Amino acid sequence: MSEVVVRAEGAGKGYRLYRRPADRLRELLFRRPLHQTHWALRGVSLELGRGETFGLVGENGAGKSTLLKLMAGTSRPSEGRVEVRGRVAALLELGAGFHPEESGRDNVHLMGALAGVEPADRQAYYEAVSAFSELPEEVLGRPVKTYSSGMFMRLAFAAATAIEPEVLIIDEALSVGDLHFQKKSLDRIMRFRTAAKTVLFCSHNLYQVRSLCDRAAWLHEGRVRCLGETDEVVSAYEDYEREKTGAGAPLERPAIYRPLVEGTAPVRIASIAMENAAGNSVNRFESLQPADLVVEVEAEDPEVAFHVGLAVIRNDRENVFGTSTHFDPNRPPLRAAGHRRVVLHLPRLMLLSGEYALSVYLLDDSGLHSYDLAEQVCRFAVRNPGRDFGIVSMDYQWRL
Amino acid sequence: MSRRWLRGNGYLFLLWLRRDLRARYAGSLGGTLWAALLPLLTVGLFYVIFALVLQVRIPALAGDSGYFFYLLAGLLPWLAISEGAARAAGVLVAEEQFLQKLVFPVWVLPGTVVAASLLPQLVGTLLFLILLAGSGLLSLPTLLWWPLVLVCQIAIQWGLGLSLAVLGVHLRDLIQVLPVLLQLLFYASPILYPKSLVAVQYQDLFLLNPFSGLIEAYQALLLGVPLEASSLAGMLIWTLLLGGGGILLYRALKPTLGDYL
Repeated sequence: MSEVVVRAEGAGKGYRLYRRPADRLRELLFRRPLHQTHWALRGVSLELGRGETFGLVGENGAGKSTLLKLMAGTSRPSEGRVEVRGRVAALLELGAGFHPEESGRDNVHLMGALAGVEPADRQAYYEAVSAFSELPEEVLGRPVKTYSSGMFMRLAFAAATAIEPEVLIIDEALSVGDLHFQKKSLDRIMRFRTAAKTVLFCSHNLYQVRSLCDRAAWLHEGRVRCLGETDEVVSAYEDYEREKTGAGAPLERPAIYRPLVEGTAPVRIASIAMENAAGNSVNRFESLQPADLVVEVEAEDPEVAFHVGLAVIRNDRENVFGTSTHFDPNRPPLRAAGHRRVVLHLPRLMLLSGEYALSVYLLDDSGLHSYDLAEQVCRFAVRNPGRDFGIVSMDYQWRL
Repeated sequence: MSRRWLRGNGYLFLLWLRRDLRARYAGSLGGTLWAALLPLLTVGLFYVIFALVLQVRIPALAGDSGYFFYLLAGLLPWLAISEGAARAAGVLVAEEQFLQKLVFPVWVLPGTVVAASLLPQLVGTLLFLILLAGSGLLSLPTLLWWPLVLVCQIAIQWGLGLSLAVLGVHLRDLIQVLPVLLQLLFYASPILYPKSLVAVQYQDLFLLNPFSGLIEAYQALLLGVPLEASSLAGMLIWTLLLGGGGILLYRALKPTLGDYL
């Protein structure tokens, strides 16, 4: 691995629980332990190299945020060590430390001082924040309590990321403000990635973890359950989640599609259908027959570039197959004015008997931000007339 | 403590102080007016009760105005000390959310509280000096000692503020109890009355009061009343104990903050 930037060695964070508040003082005075320790995190060892993007997955309360806090330096490990080299920007809670009565300008200056911006760079820092936030100077002079939540988030995100950090720590903070700004903030995170900065983030959006991260760790009950290549780790976590919800539990969601952002997305899914060789929309197929997965996309602005991602999901939520137009780096993104029909043609449907559904994603040109999505819709059944069994048909020959 | 550290944290300290002062004085209509009015009311109340009703007199200072000046000389530093201590004990708890989410030098919070408490004292002292000059009571030579006594006061307040801030996190009760303790200390200090009114055999007890020597020093240098050597020694010893000891206690207890915040 390249130069190590973040290192945790047997890091643990325990919270002392006292039965009575006075026990805390008694313990301090008499040096006799009177507490029970709840370990939010224990025995975590990992190393992140320069330029690496690292993902954390796990259930709520698994210790993800605690680990991020240790790395951001807002919390100290109770045992073990955590070392970070270089400047850290942490998006743990956007706008923490902003004072509502103070002007945006004064708040930004305070954030800069906290992040250790050199006196000579203070003006440049402020200008960078103000430019990125797209808030006019007149607004920045007003108390932040008068800001809309979108304006506030824009300023907070800009202030947190304008310091040119070596390490960026993000806790589910990707959805900031309106769509335009969401994309802009994601672009900034992507720039950190390409500029060989170390990015550490935790997210419940496993798609995002898969597409952004080089490596990942799955935290379970405060310990690292799995550490390694993103795909391996995320798959292991998905297996666990599936088992927890009960293997083979049927899809609960009805096949009704609801737009992700009501009316505001520049590119939207108009309809999703499965068509047979004759071009008829059907929901029953035979194995090894041709099938078309048809997505009707609706767009107003031909300037907006997008990609289409498609996944076939078995009725126990297992991803059987997924692909996206952005997986091929040479394929330019799509554009549309009005309706555009996007078809994934399968010459031979390799599925054996079973029940399936589709998930459709409309993504931006980076392939990370979703404009619109429809998950587990357009259910269909496949029947295998032959006697082969299993999930998929494999291309085979007997050598006898 | 490198120059770079001082530049960065000094700037942060000033920004935070400005935020604190603004939040306290600029929020309400005539915020500064209230800040000046409340101490004036206190002074007026004490003056009426002790000078006019109880007829307390200060040796070496004549009449009602003499008592009034004596009261001001002691009350000005006392208000700063008590406000600084009371607010410092609660400041980390009040900014708990903030400390959890940002990498923040903890000392800045009690530090700015102490600095903010000094501002009314400085303004008040300036007005007081003008008043003294108008009455022809200003003694310039002893006034040269003022900065030195102020340094002692800042050291005491700093050490006390830092350690109270950390203790306030461990012992939340302290935040409730401290104002009462400060009230007791106030009446046990020679602010409302001169030490000479107390029976001679009890006068040495004032040395146990950490602020007594300091307040007597202020009274001596502002009003030219005599200062006992024991009071001066008391002030210096308490400065070392509270200033130095407070900072050491803060350093020792600071690592324990992480678990509670």
